[in-house]
Amino acid sequence: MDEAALIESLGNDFAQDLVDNRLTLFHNYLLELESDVNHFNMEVYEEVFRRFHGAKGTGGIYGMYCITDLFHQLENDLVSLMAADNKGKIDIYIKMHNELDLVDRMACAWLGGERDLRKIFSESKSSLHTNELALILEPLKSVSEQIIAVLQDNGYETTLVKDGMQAMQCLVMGSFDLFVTSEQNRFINGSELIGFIKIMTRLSKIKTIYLTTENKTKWVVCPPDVIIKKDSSLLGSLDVAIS
Amino acid sequence: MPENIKFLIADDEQHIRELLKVMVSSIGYEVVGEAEDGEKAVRLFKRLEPDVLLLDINMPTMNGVDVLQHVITMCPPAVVIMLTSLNSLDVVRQCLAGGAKHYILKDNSIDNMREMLQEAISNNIGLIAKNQIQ
Repeated sequence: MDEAALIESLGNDFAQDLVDNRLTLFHNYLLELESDVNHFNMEVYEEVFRRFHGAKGTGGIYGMYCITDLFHQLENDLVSLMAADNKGKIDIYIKMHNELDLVDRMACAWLGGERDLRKIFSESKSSLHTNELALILEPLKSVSEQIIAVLQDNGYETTLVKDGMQAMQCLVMGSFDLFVTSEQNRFINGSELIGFIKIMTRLSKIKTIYLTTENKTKWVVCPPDVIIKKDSSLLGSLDVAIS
Repeated sequence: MPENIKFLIADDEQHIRELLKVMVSSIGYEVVGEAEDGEKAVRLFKRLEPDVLLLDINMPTMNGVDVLQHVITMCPPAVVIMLTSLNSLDVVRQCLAGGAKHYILKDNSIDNMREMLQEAISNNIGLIAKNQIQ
């Protein structure tokens, strides 16, 4: 067997393992956590977190990016559980079981030969009440904190990256709905990243918001969807752009 | 320069260990052992004396940070390459300060991972050769 075929076979083996074993195990872990909403079994909590993290990484390596994204969401759900009240916890558990069911559908689709899982992911997203995902690249902490607050108020789940390289990797690996960036960043600037999004078919549905202090007219490929001036109107304009 | 480089792979995910074995073999090196948890990684490191340890961070029984400490205490010039994801980069910095020689991002394409592995080996080839002589 050549290397490509071997890697394909290992990926299928992982998908099969999800369907046959892991997802049942994950549901059972959640049921164990749910059995007492007043008390967290930290041993189970840490074990399930580690296993979600492992499945997230493995999915990414084999190109199952939407599965990776869902396990990332599941990790975030586990973090949210810690802060939620009892009613909130029940809602989060229901959401997590639904997310695991979606992983199951996507793994089955993968085993059936489907390599682009985004359609299944997008169709199911609204029924899962999964938040829209926003990636933010803004080096000024005071500005990024305000942007994050506006996005979260509008129901977005946010990821802040430190430089253009990290942003590129997140864009490639994740399933973001919105990208907010300034121009001046380490390694790769904002307009180059927007150009990258526009030319990559897989990423072209990401809404791009470009924050600037200048009247930029030359774009690497094509302009962003929204340009917002970095002045006192920034937060208001952002609110309008994403509402 | 070393003719053969022996690898020990420590990752709790079987499907990642399998992939790493394929990757290491494809660049002409040898995998002499694999561990699915931290304690086993330390045991095998002692027993097999690999030239390179590919070490995951999140593992059962003992995490990668603790394994690194044990290994570096046993063998300060050991070539340990951390396996990590983007959201664990802070832990990686801690590992590099603690004696790890390099890191590989797992949330990457297989070709990129292979390139990162080759780069990590190239950067440490002198140290590997020196460790083999000693």
